[in-house]
Amino acid sequence: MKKLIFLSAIFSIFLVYGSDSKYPARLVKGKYGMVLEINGKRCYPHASRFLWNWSGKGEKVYLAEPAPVKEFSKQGVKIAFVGTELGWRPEGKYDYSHVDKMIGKALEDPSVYIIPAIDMRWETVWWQRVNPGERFMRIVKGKIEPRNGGSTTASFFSDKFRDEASEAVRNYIKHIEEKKWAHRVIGYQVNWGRAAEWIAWEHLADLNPHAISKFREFLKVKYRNDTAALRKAWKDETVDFSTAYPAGNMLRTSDKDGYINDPAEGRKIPDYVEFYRQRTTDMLLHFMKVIKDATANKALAGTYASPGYYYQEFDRIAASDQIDFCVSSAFYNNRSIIGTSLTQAVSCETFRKNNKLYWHDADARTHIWESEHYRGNKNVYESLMATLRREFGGIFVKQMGLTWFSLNPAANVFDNPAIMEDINRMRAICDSALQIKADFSGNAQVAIVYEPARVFSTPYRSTAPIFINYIQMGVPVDFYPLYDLKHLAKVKKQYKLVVLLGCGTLTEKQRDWIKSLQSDKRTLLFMYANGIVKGDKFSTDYASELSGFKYEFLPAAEQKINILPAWQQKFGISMPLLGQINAPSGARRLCIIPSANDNIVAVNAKDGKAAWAIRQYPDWTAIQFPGYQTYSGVLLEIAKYAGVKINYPYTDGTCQACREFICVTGGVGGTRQLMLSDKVIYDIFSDKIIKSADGKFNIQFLPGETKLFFTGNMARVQQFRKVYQENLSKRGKQ
Amino acid sequence: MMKKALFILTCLIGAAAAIPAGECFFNGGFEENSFPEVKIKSSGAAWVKTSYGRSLLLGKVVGGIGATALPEAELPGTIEHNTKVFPYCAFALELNPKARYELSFDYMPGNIRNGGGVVILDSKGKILRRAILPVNNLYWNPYSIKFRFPAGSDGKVSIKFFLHSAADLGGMAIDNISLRLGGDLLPRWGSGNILHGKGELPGWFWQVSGSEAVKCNGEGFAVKTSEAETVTLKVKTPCAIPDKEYFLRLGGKADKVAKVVAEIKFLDGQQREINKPAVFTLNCRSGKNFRKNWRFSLPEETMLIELTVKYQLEKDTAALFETPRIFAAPETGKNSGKERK
Repeated sequence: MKKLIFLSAIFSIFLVYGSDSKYPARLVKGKYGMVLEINGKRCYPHASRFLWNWSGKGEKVYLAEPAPVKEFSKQGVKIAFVGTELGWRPEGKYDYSHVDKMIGKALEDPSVYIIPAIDMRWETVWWQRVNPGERFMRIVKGKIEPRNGGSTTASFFSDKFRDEASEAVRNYIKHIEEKKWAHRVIGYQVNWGRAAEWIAWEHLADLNPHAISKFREFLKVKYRNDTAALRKAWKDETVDFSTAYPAGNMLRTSDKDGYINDPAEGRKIPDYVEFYRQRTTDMLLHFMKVIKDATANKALAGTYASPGYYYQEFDRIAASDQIDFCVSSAFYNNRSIIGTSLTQAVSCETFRKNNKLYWHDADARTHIWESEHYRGNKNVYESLMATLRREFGGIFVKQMGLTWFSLNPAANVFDNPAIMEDINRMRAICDSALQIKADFSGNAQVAIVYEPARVFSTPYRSTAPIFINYIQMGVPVDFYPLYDLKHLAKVKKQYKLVVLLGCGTLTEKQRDWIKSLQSDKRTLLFMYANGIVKGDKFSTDYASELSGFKYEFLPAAEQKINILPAWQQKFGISMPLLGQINAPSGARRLCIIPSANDNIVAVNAKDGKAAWAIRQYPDWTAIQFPGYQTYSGVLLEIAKYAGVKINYPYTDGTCQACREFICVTGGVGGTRQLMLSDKVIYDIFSDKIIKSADGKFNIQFLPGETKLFFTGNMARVQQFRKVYQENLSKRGKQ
Repeated sequence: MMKKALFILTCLIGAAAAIPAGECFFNGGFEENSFPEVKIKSSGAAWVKTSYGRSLLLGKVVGGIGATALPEAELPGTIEHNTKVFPYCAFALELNPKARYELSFDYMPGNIRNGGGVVILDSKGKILRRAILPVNNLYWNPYSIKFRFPAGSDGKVSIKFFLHSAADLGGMAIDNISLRLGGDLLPRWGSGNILHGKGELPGWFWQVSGSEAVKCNGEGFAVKTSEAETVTLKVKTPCAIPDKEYFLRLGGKADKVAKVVAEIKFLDGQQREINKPAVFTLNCRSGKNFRKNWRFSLPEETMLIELTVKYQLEKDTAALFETPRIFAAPETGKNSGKERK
């Protein structure tokens, strides 16, 4: 018996120390998505992230040491992403001195856990020099040659690079596992491509011969080696499997609309986009598998991603069991404190729903720094704090991870005590929410469905403004990429308004899912021509099948959409002009052919053609708008018309909420009225409890200010406040 | 004449009054129907203080604003919206009608579609300048706009900021408003602008000595001497720019050696001299074009400057001199240039 007890004790010690020895983190299913546990203890997924900085000359430089990790740890942020060299040197040699130095420094604080991050593009410049034929290539002055300078990268289609770099990653992991601090490494992040985002460059096709040959193989499989089928699809009587070639440098759709892949234009561009997304996804998942295999499936594996993963097949990534997390940022254009707020929400929802951990990269510097593109306030720290609160609040209410990050070319911006004090506040908010089991149920009543492949092939700079207008429509919104429609169809009950954002090409299944949304007195807003492409056919009838409206295409003309006076009054939109449709040059325009059932709300000022229309069915309402983009204020009015509960009727800020938290960015500031069903709110950053008999709260905002509120009844609010105040003083003791 | 000069001076020194404009939407920073506090520093520079310390907030747009609508005539031409929905806020100032001004401010558009504009009107409702503020980024954007008064103006000006996208509920924030003398501090030399030692109207050149044969050509003046003589020009002009550097520019050509001596006196509100005058001299070589910029700073208390330029010419000299100019030295850095965008 004694022997049995002794063996059990030994086994228990082994279990404790053995399981703790390597990769102590895991993702477990929680009520609102995946939860991060380290050594069995749940922790809020926020992390400091210190990889590298821009040198100011288009190059990256590693930090001398990840010193701020300690500062973050003092505030209770115990996870750090630490950028290191890959250690891969020419002629099969390895040098891990930088790896050991960086990680060693980061782990000087014994309570810190890390995720080493590798940027393969940056780390393999020498390899690209040795293997010029394996690099990403494009047309330069009529010649195909590798892209040089800061944007050079190995081709995503190079098998040689894939095999050799995989070996380097395996060796890197092996080296780390041999270190005495290996048990404090919880996973790996492998990045590649421009800015580590798994893209070569914006909208560029890779013209490397390997890529071309793989493209042709892809076509052979797709068209079953049938040249006639290829020619028919490409509308090109001369093409065959040995001559097929991408359309050129740019991958943008070049059809009449600039958005929808019209089958009449041929499948040359869509085929390449499909190929590119598919094969880069293969490559990304390959490296995730390398991590999983090398660590016996114990380490968390993840990547950095372009905002929204538009350049890969996001659905396949989200569904893969090889990947656990991704880090991604908001759109980069229109960045400012009230600019691209929350555009990260476009993709993170789906990642979370697919049981993955999404870390939003706050990248505070680019919202505020003085430069050609990013002009900010003179008071950098004041602005930085405003940005950090906005990034934190928006992500927190959606229960996703956040990385504290700043691409600061000069120095660490987290050296300001007031900012670190704020980091502690945010950490305390997270801990308190966990402690009181806060209700993070989503309460958005607006869903926006978009087509990622279209976003991929739409000029990036015009994409962000479209999303920003939706994010700033004054109500919480959830985004659904087209492939996640099945999920939306399942949870449709909470949504009173569903916006179909130019989903031109729809499968039969997707059409059925959309039809299943046509119930429960719901309103569907059709932006541009949804479902106009079915298989390889293009017809306005296919769009009519979904919305009920009849359409016609007219030649391109300036489109000024005027709301009709009666509807102006009804909607309360005081400005009669709803906007101009910014279509690409040469585009045709979509007009509605009115029928007796249609309420024509707006017309084109030029020729009086119907533009915006409403049709009511017994169970649902259809609204049609002829473009992709309209003012946030118009969207807000449509939301009101659809019966969406409006919490924050302003469109220069954002409002994201879950059941017990609401995060509001106040735009340009002033007095703003929040309209809630709860009668008590707690302004967390200001430490103020505010009561209102009718649920209307007048709140003062400074320009660019973000406020996070806990909402509920007085007892619940006080419970949160008490726990939060206690947690504030527990700085760094978790 | 002296009384008129003093009147203008008094206007410049005196605090500006807000114009009555019906309802005004100062959301957050102000009570409704109130106006920002406009102060004139002792040195004369205008600035606007709000209850946020510096921000002027244009409030949310609502339907049927009516009284706060900016008249259609005042809108920049490219805006085609219904003008009844444009709220604005305004403040009024009384300024020196002879000087040129530069209004600069930072603005924060509320939304990617939600910009605004500024319009500057004189007391007769004449639009001096107007502009749409571009949405370059959604945080603070610097902007400046220059204006001057038409002949005969009383120097009263109202400055109105407005929103131009009413469907976007939100607003626009204005910050760091400042008004300073911009461009040339001195009047352009033109026909009729020269007074032969008779007047002492601030902001006007007058000739106090030298040949009567001075001829203006719009850009400068020509002189022909039969005897050696000194042509002296003088100008006294109000200025109200503290902490600001200026250039004095002299230029021209003489067919014989000449000497030019310029002196700038700095005067306070009672026309007492403060600080030492700035003196610049230049020897002009025979038959050579010359142009020289001298940099100088205005002492904090300066309310007027008096420029005296002496052209010492030999006999039988034919010369053509440029109008003396005093203009703001370009700022270094991001905000330099004409209109900051």
